[in-house]
Amino acid sequence: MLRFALGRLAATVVLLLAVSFVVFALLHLAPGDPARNLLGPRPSSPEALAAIRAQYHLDDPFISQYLRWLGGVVRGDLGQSIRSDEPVTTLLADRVTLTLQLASFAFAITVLAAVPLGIAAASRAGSVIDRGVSVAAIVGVGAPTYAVGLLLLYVFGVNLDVFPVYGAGEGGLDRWWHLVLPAVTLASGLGALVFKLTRTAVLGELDQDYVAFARSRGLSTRQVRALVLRNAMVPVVTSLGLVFGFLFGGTILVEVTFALQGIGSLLAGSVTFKDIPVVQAITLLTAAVIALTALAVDLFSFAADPRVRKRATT
Amino acid sequence: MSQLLRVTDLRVNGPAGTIVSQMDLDVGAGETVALVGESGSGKSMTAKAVTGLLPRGVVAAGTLGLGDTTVELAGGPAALTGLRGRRISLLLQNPFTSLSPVHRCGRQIAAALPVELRRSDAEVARRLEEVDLPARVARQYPFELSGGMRQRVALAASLASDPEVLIGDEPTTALDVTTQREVLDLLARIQRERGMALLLITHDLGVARERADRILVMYAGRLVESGAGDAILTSPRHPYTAGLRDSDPPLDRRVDRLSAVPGSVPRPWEVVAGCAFAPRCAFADDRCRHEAPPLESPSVGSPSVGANPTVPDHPTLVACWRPLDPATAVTVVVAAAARDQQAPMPLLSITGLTKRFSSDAPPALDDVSITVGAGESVGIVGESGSGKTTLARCLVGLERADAGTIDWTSSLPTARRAQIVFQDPTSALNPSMTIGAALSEALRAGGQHEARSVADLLALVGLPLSYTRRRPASLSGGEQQRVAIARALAPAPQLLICDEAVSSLDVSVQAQILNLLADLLDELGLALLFITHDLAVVRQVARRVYVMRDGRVVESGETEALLTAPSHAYTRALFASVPGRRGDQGATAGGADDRSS
Repeated sequence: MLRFALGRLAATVVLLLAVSFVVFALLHLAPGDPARNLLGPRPSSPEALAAIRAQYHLDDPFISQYLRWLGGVVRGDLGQSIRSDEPVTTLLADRVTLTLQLASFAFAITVLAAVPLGIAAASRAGSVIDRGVSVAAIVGVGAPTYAVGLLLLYVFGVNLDVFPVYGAGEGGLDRWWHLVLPAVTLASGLGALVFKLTRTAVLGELDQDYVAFARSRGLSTRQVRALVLRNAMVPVVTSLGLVFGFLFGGTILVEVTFALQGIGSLLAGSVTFKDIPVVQAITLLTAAVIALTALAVDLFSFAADPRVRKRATT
Repeated sequence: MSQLLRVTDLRVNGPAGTIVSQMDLDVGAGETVALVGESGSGKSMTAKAVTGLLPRGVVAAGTLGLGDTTVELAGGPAALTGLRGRRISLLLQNPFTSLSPVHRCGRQIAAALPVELRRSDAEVARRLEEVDLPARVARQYPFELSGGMRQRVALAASLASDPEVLIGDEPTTALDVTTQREVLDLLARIQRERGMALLLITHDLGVARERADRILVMYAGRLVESGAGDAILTSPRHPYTAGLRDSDPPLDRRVDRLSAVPGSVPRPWEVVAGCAFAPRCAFADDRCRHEAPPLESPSVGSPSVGANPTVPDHPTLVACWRPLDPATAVTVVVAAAARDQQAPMPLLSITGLTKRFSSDAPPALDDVSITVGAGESVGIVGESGSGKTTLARCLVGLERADAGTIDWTSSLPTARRAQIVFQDPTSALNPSMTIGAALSEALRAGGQHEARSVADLLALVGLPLSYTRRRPASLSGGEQQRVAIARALAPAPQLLICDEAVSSLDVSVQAQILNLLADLLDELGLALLFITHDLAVVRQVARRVYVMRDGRVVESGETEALLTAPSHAYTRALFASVPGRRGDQGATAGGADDRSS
């Protein structure tokens, strides 16, 4: 187990290093002179440009620039935002919290609603429940996030006036209260996806010989369900891992719709503004979240599937 | 005899129509009854119906008696709750899929034990011991065990709730022949010790002959013949039973031509009127085509009681208007004339071929040397893991060997040297391509589109030209395999490799394909490399044979000589494991030579 975990961890680190290299190269790949880009809207006198070149060591070889930048990243220094001239770390801190809260909330709703519904629909395949939820899921997958968001805002925020329509609240419970509608909006599309995946996984398992064989031996419905769920768990959790990575990087539309100051809206603003250090930081952060989720999923399948364990240890 | 399992007037209906109709069967304590049939005969559906495991959309009706309990099957699967497992259990065909892959074997066995024993490791160990497995297996996962061991675990699991009736649905079909024998012996021993009733569902007449007290033959959803095992197979009264028996290639001799039953098994719901077998029957008359015959005592020939002295309760019954007369219906088996024995010009010689898939596993091929002459048919016999498929894949370039050489005497392009036909035609053909498109693609790929046409290819394998516009799904398994053969022949190769190409086919269809291959060899002067686990089949097709085990060739020689007097212990063990060939011992004394002289 330890060897497998360390191996995976090492692979994750290598992956993140590769990503960091590409992310750093963004600065030089972006159209125009890097110094001019970093200078942003400030007047571009030759002195200012020279100062920027010195500050960012733009005249050094590419590799040493990268290593210097990487060293900063490791120490938590992600540079200065061009737009606000604040350290990127400070700029991100609040927003990352909000986005993480939003993503986790949406993830929890997705898991708690879609997985049980998927199991229920699969065990009663063809029933009214199955068909009803499946149709709802198609709508959920098909409906654009912003449309669902606006609809929810209109119904629950404006007409019924149950939930706030704007902002992230004051922290504590109020924060979560403000996040209900955005989280539900996010969860609607992903939940539909997870529902479909769960339903397919469980249906696939129900079709397996071992289920027929278990029933033929007189195992109780509860025992058979336990067998099926244990087997379906691996694909379902794997897909949940993908979903979480997607969630974290995919909050932008919801943040804009609900006027939330998360990293999604920050990313949108920074791209427009060519605020390269911020774009770099967010890209790196998203990649890290996705890579760590993948790591968690791998460790999970190692623990949950003896066949993976066997393959990993031989 | 107290009949533990009694099924009366079983009917099974699916979305497309009737699957099983008018089925009666009973099995007594300690008795083994074989239910024999080809695919689509309804034998598995019968097993599923009486255990309440029918797939969605399929319903059963009829009466099921289990000991002193009687259940109306029309009540649905719920009617069987409480009986399933405790009174009747079903052992499935494939031990690789019938156990949950992520649960330890011990837990899977324990799950069906009585509640108070579920946590008892000692009880699980005792159950494992009953199936000749060590106690450590309880802590292992199914994927860590061989097929035979898995099937033993499955057997222990299906016996955990101590059923009175065990149904085995092809329980040894997925196993190698030597393992098959061990598992069948084990089943017989446990049945004897427990006094269980055993219903053995099989397509293999050898298994039925060797293991069953009585045999029931199903065709297209109905019983066509039933009676004592010996009586049924030595003097079958139904032409189908006779055809089935005669299509089964003999192990002890080579015949010139297998007596194949033309056509293939119809789906039960496609049978409109009359006897379902009539379209394939040489004896059918008008009545056969218009009126379904009931299952009854045959009216012609010797009295059935006399033919059936061992089981007086169960005289031979046959559903046929024109049953065969056991006195006259003696199949004349023509032994093959001795073929031209002169050594052919060499076509291919393989020397020292070695292939390893992983450094810590034993090699899949270990110093294998084989030659094939032009126009020669060579057999490769082996069980799973023998390396026979890897060898074929190396020959057609699907794998690259680590060491050794493959030398062709011709300088033709690879596609014209060798082509391969796989075991499962359904997955070997692209389901979205019409037969015509698949064949013309193969012709173009082989650069033969000017020399030959799709029509030529279809004619070669005996399919009508109208098939060009059909898709594989609308063809039977045998027809699909004909298409696969036609596709392999498209580039006009010198060598045709058949990798278990008849193993997944019904026995009557297998005989057709074997005959087709024999014709093709004669007509086209093809060389054939025939890879199989089946000694009887290889005897019919191959002039020379190589026996492989664990990646090595353990014995080789002229087929007749080698199979008449195998010298290697492994070949002898393979030979002895083939079920239901009680005349085999005689064959080793040169019986085949007597017949051909």
